[in-house]
Amino acid sequence: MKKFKKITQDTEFWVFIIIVILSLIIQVRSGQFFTNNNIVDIIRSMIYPALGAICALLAFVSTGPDVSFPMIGACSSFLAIAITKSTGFNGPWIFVYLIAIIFGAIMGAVNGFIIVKYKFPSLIVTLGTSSIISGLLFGAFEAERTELPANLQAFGSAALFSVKNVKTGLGSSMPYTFIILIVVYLVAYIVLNYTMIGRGVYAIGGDEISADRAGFNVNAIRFGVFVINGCVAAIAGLSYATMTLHYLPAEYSGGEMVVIAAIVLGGAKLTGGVGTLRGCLLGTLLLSMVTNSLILVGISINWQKVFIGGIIIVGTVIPMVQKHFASKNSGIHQNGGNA
Amino acid sequence: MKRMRLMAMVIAGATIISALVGCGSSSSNTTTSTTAKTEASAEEKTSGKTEVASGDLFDVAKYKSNKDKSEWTIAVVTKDNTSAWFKRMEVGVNRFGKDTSINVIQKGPATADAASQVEVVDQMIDQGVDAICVVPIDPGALEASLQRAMEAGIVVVSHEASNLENTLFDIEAFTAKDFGAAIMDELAKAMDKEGKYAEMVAYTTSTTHMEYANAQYERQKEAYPDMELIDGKVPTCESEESMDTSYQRAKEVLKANPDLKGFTGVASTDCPGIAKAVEELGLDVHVVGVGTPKEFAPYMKSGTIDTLLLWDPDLSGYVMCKLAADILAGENIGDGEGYNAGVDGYKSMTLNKDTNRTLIGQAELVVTPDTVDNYEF
Repeated sequence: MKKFKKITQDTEFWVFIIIVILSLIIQVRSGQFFTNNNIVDIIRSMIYPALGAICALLAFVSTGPDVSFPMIGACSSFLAIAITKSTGFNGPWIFVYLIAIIFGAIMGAVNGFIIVKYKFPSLIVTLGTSSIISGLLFGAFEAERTELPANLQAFGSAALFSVKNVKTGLGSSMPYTFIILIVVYLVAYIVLNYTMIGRGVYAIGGDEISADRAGFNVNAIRFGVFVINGCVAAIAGLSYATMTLHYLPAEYSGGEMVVIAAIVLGGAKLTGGVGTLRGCLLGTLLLSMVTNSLILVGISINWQKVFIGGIIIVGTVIPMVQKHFASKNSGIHQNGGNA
Repeated sequence: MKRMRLMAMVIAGATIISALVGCGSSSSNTTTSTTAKTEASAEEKTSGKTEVASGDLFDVAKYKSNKDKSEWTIAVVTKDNTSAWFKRMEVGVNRFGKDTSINVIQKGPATADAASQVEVVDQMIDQGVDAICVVPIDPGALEASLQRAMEAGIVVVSHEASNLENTLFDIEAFTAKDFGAAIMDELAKAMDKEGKYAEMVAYTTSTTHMEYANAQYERQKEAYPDMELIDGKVPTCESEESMDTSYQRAKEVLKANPDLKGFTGVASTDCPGIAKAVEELGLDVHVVGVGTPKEFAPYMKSGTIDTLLLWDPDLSGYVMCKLAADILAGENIGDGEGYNAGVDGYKSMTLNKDTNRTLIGQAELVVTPDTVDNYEF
């Protein structure tokens, strides 16, 4: 009983409940939610936002908002693709990713350096770098829509597995980027939960001075978080290009807001120190599920936006209200978060 | 104290960097003083020209040039000279220059934003060109500069800007109604005039897209009674100008309507996304829409996209220059009966007086899988 009480106080639990209820509603109305091809479609649509959600989560938990990851992704994947194309390199796709990751790390390091060294708010710094990167990308590099180099094209068109719905005859394929998503989450999970650095990420976001006194190197961890964010952003950006089979520079900016909404749904606190990877995935799943089912359910185009906005608000408010009452009744105060 | 000084240095550094970035992207190093200079130099340079400043700015006859044809300069200002679309336009512009031995230049802003484009137009006025042909990013932002150009006796012609006021003529390849109808005709042909179809636009707020989409539906209702738009609602879904969103929405529409036979998309991101979804689901759905040949080619060759419709920027570039040259030559450009630019699709352009004088051609370019390789954009 006590354990159950504890579970019901988790934001994740309530997001999970909302997901279950919504999926049942969609299933009843469309009869197509729990079909193999639809599930593959929804998971596929989660890949890019879920990668971005790691960047948003790490930044929020340790420091504050990072809004530069879409543009870092756009620019580093542009550079990786341009270099691959101009050298005619046609080796394994992973090297294209590595080039992108190097550029992503550099851009992330610029963010980290300014934030750590001058203690500027991360929102302002990342807004600034985001704008500079965008200017460089479209002005100096003259980025435009392009085809992918052959190795990425092959990687993007290949399917990890394909499913076919026997009843409707509809098929769907899972791209290989799904593996990338799993690997990135596994690594993040292990680091956040089983290493001192991971604990430090939460500690410095919770209370910087205490973390410092406890022996964490606040500056190094914070700098590291932004470098890692740059790397993950690069992976996400290139994965987006891989999945659409085109490099589309105009489609990145603006993506940060949906991702931030998703992690807030998943229980991350805007004030820092709290947020889990599990919550990240659940929040992203909820938003992807809703945006990819409204047509199936038959909601007309103008009402779709109302619906998505409603889900974001309801999804954030329910756990808050629940927690409010829970802490009033039992006096238990929940803080800190495990990934 | 030390912290303060550091901060001041950073802020100063950031200002310098942003100033540098600003210059790099604006392609003009006289940003702040352009306006003041423009007026002075425009007056100097136009002394040899007809003064139009007094009287009716829109009286075409007043723009006749006294100079010899070989001394004219016609400037074409695009939205973004790096894109394949405007590179194609440059081909037409240069061909006009070669055909007529009139001096032509095509220039675009370094970044496709309205303010940078205004700077390019101002530069052209400073240089004392004889005609400006412009494809506006934001017509409203250009009004003041173009008015000044016309006051200085410079011929102003525009393209894709039926709501621009300060232009002698705006050129359109077709009316939205004709274009939408042409899309529907192609779709009907592909679908054997029967079955269910869906329509995608970028945003329900994009005016031209919605005009195309509505025109398709109107045309279908009047000519193809056996075809049916899903729920009779225009449009079926939005791509939000993103290829991935287009793919996801198309998948949903196809799952919800397994009997769908046709799909149209009017933003360039739409059809590639739709085609990807159709191929992955393993369906036989006909896709017709607007875009560029190079991007559509893979899906056209695999047979998923049946027909691609657009207009040829090569021709619209040529026609803009031709019209500007005819005005400079003092030819009587029809006040009433339209205009013949002597190019296919633009031979009997009709005149429509609304916000401005719009000359409309019949220049839909229909590309099929057989002809898609003939285009390099």
